Amino acid sequence: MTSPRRRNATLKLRLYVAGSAPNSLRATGNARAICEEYFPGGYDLEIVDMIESPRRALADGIIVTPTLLKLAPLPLQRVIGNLSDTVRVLSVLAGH
Amino acid sequence: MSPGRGRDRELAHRLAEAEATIEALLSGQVDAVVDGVSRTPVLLAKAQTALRESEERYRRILETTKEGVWSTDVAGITTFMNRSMREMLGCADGEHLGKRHEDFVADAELPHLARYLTKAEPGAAALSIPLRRVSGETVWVELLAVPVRDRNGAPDGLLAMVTDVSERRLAVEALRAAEERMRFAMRSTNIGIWDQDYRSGQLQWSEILEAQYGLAPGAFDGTFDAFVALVHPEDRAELSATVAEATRRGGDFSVRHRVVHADGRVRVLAGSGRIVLDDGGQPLRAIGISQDVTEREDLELQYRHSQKMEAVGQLAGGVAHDFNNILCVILSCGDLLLTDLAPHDPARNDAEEIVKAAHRAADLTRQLLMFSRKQVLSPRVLDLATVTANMAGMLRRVVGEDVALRILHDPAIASVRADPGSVEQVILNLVVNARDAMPTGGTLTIRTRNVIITPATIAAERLFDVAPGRYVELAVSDTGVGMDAATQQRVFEPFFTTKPVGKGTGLGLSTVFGIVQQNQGSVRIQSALGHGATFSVLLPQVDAVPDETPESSSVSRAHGTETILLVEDEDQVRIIARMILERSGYTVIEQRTPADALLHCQHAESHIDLLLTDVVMPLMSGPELGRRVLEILPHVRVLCMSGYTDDSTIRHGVLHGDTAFLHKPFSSRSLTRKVREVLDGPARAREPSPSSDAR
Repeated sequence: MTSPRRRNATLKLRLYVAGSAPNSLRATGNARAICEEYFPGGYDLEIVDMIESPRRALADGIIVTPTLLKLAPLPLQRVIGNLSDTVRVLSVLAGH
Repeated sequence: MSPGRGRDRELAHRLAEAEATIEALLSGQVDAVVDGVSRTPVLLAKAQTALRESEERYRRILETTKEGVWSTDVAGITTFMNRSMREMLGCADGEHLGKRHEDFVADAELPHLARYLTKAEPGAAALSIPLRRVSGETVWVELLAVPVRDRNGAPDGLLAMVTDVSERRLAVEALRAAEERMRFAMRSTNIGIWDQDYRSGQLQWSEILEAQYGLAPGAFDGTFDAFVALVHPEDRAELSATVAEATRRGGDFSVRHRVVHADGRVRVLAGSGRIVLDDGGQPLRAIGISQDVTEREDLELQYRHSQKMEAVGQLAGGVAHDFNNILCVILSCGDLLLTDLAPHDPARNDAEEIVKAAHRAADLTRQLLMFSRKQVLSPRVLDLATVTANMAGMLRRVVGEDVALRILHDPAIASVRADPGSVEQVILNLVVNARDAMPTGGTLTIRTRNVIITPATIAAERLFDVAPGRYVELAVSDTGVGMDAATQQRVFEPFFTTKPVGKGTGLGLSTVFGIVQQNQGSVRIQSALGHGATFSVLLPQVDAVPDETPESSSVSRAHGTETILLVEDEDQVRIIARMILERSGYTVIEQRTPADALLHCQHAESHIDLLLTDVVMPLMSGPELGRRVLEILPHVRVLCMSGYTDDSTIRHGVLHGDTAFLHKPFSSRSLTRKVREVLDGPARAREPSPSSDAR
């Protein structure tokens, strides 16, 4: 498997969670691990608590947590769930 | 691309997302959904339970931690305390709520706390402060406060982490006290400490240790070689060997060695050390202590020396005492023989030789008794300058023509209390000794002066047998050959002499030593080979005018007809004394024991004029017998005789001049003279003890 590293194009991600609920904690951990493993130094991951910032969630059209938004590069894409299916997450992040 | 295809793709994408959302929901991977009506997030039941459990877990952590947790709101009112915090302050459950920081701090500490809390910020240092428990006791804590902000970033009070440091403080205080005690002990006992780290090779010394080596504080170089260089060269090899052996096997070791200060002074140090080895048997660290034992060693030496002199003195005194009784017989028999022999009898010469030899022997035993301090003394208040001046003529003849005699007096010389005869003996012996040290001539100086001995003088001049006070010093100096240290050490021992065999008895300086000691004085030597010697006698000053020199009573008539009660347990001495006295015309009543004598007095069959008694007898002493006889016959005069005085004699007042005393061995001449003197003398001299004053 070829590594989808993109050192030049920064990967911009936003992960919506619900406090420290179990899937949210797991999603946070998985997102960090995938970014560090496949995009070291080339990503920007923001964690947003939907309970604390409901307005931002509405603005981003979030209806469930955890939801990972890929903001850049376009197209905008989402992954729903605790991000334990690494292949699926990678296929979204790599823009397929 | 056509717009229709674009919309299809968008729809397909949304459908895929919706499917993924449903899939996530069905597989339980979703925590919260946005409520379609209120547009607010709603936690799913499972997530809520998990959150509650999580909160519960945090609460348990808070309640079980040993650290105190204390939160207050913006008004400073307590909103939360964990169990440790409540226990620290002694608060019952709920009692803490609504209280303020100030309720748990003594008034004096309030400003400190207020200043700390207003400056509280993340990363600030903790504040050490005593808190007041509900019961009023104090608990020392370290308090670390951080400001808390709400979701919008506005101040929301303070969160404090509090650690109980009472025990730590007690331990630190105990440690400090122990260190202080240790430092005090080290300083007051003058113990120096060293500490060697074998990894760095660094050797550290305390200031006291540096002082013991004559170094200024901080002047020590910090190496083993620098240390060895300060040790006396003769002691280096042994010291290094001891340390090397201890380094090899580890454990404790002791050393005693000399050090040489920069100014040349030599001190004696004693120390102990401990070497710690690592697991591989290599030295890791060594520590040790050291003490300056120079004075102690001097005292020990002095003590051993005086013990030896004491033992020799007792031996000599004992022998001399027995000898005296024998000489008494020889002398008296010789005298009697000479009286009986015709002037031209051929045997007369032999008899005279016997008496002469016996006199020489008596003189030797007298000197031995002087050394052993068992001489009977008649101390009087004297002026040493006058005593010396009166002897000047005689001393000049003694020193001879090759030696110049200088006599220097302190005009304001103080008085001393001593026996004049023995002081003259001391001066004479010292002068003879000085003369003999200058076989080719030189200068002999006798000097008297007042001196004050202070504790500092005692330490500096090693006068360990002298108490601080005012003294008169009589110093006899010569410009002769001088003495080395070994000779000085032994010079007062009886029969120790550096003169050729037959030239000296080895008793001259021993006699000086004994007499001076018996007169509560001290004698010391300053000398070096080739640089002459000075013998200084120190006698305590007394505040009294010197006594008049008593005129020697010339007894013209040594004969008499009085009756004498003679008490002596030594048969030969008693028989001789009786013979002498009877030849001089006296009536003699002989008794062997004081009991027999008392019995005789009680029956008073005949008149008694004089009691002549030995001093040391079994069951009752001579002076005691005298006192008992006077109770029966108050008119009797008492004369005691002895060759020996000991404690019992001194206790009975013989030494105080209250009793007439005759020294054994006596010649017929000295016995008859003394008997006549007592019979004719003033009544005062008859009293055997102060107890018979009541008349």
